[in-house]
Amino acid sequence: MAEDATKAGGAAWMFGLLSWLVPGIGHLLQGRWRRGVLLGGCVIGLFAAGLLLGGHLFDLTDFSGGLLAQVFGLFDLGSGLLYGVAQMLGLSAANTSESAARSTYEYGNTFLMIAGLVNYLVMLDAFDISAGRKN
Amino acid sequence: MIILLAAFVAAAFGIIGKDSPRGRAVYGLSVFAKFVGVAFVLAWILYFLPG
Repeated sequence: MAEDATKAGGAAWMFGLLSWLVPGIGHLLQGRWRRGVLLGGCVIGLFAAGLLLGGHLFDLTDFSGGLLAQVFGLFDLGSGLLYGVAQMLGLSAANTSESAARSTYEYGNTFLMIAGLVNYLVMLDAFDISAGRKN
Repeated sequence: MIILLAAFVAAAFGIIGKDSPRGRAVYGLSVFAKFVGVAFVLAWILYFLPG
């Protein structure tokens, strides 16, 4: 596995990184239009639904929420630039008792975390395609 | 809500997990059914557990 990773060229790493930053773009740049649009659409759809449901984006630098919040932050971070932009613009709900009282708060959190986790898979898929391990 | 979540995740899993269009459809539908089925069973188990 480690040997396979070293065999993969710089392009594979670049497509993987780009795919993490912008969901689906790693596939689009490799000419996999349908795959890129569908996978990017899934991640963006999950992320948008999470924000609309009033979910909270966990901050990796905030240690007040404990270890579990750090893990959730790592999941959220998978959305790449979506995460960064939403954090900068303050689009996600604050982690307060008022936000948590909303019936859709936990649903929103789940959608945001799943968006990040799915994008990690999309990123690996773009890497594998470029490295010639997948069609 | 679980239907929406399952639909997005099943679509992504189907596209990533299989190569043929038929394989993707079958795998995606199976992931979708498992998501919804497990959520339904867990919901009924939690309903009967004392709060």
